[in-house]
Amino acid sequence: MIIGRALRYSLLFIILFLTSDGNALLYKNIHIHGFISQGYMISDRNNYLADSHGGTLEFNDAAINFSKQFYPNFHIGCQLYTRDIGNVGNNKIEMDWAFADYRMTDLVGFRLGKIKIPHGLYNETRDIDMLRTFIFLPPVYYDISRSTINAMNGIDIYGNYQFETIGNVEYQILNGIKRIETDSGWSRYMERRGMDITGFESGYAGCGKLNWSPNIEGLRLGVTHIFFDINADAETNKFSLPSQYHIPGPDLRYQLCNFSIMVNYAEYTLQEMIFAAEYMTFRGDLVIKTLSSELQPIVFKIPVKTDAFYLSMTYRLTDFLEMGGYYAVFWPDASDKNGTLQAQEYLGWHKEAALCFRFDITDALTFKTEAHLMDGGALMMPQDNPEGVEQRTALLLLKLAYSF
Amino acid sequence: MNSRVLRFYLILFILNSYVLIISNANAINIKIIVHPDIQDAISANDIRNIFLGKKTQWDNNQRIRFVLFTEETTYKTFITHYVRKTLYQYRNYWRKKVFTGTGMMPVMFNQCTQCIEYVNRTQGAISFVPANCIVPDDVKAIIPD
Repeated sequence: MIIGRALRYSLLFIILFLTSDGNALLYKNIHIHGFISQGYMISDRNNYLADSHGGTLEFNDAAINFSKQFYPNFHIGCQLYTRDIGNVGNNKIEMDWAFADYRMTDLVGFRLGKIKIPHGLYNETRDIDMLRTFIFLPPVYYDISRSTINAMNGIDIYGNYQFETIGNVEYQILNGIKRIETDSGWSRYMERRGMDITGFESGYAGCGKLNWSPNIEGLRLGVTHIFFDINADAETNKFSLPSQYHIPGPDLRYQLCNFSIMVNYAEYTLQEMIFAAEYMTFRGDLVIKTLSSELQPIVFKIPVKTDAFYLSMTYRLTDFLEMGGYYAVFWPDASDKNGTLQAQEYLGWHKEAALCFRFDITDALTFKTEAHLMDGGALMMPQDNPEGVEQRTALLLLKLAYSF
Repeated sequence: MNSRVLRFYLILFILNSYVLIISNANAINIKIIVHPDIQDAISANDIRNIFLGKKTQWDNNQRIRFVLFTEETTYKTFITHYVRKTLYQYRNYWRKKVFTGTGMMPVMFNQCTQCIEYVNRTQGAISFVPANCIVPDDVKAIIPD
């Protein structure tokens, strides 16, 4: 935490004294860029991602990256990143990405190292506030999922081809290993079901992206697909299942098999206006095995069928002001969209409308204010709301960000 | 009533055509310049892909090195007309590459003489300058197909 603060203050120092015009730093042909942001959130009923009910400043992030071009088609770089949002992050510094990039031809390039995972339109830039209108992206990019789908170690093959008749097609195929920490957002997500994760096993992960920009100006369509298995050890008193069933503790081993997240997307840019729509499906099998010494091992296989989508529009009114809004829906169990198998029906969905105003005070400094109206408890953490999750929540966010 | 509507649309059409003529005139006020060794026929799609970092090689496999001339009017006109993005969208496009590690910020100059000099001495280079900027004979000015 102390190191995280030190990084933030160092960044602030660099920003204030060396880059007052918001340009990059250059040292011995190493390009240095970064950003720092501080937010505030307050909600009226449930706590959302942090102790938001009473208002919280525990909502910040910072990054600094270094890149060097050795040849026109070869560069290497890395980015350090730290954040704090509620109980997640706590300003621990992490290597966000670090890789070497060799572009052999337009059609084929290679990257080797820790690489951002392609997931929908905006996953790779989810942390970078100044690159988007919104403070919180829709639940297709749910904050808790960041640790699972942010980046992975591996080899990436990518490229693009311009077809005369159908337009430009880009592809990316990333294969490697995905590591998840026990204090990650994924652990928090499982914690809401009564599991205390004690260890994760790394495993093979693969993902791909196909992006098509047809000969219709401003339009792009695409699909991304991630698949991997997760093995984890957990302690629990009981693991609740729908319809009041539960699996007894204390020790469980669980496995998320054939884990697959697919996002189909469309984005259309009409001058200063951008429309986007994405539909995410998350499929897999949650296999739970009891490890209690007193009982014979029992294996449960629970299908996971989660869906989410959103529609958004942003509009830049002037160089100074941009606004945007979205409507998003998340179903943790798409076969039970009305929540009839849940303890309370509204735990079966999360519906959200957001409206945001972004002010570009300078090229480098932005201020945003955003209001959310949420219905449903599917993305509210019971551990953040010990007195129970309420159905509706209004959330107000403010964020100031500086980049160079 | 119908004739009024027709007249309204006619005026709108004329105004729209006028705006198009103005924007084309702006586009014509830009020269695209390349290193003299480049022999490729360059289409408008090629220009777009080059300045988006998607086309990185000429036909003879020579690496493309593009340079941005950042005087605001010329920069804005070029990006809107050829890259078909607003200046704000274009800057963000490159920032995304920088913050995900997938690209480096393009080289930028704020004087057209710097652009011309860079293109002249750098193999595979391409840039743009205002039409009234004097380009020496050893730098090639091109008109996209």
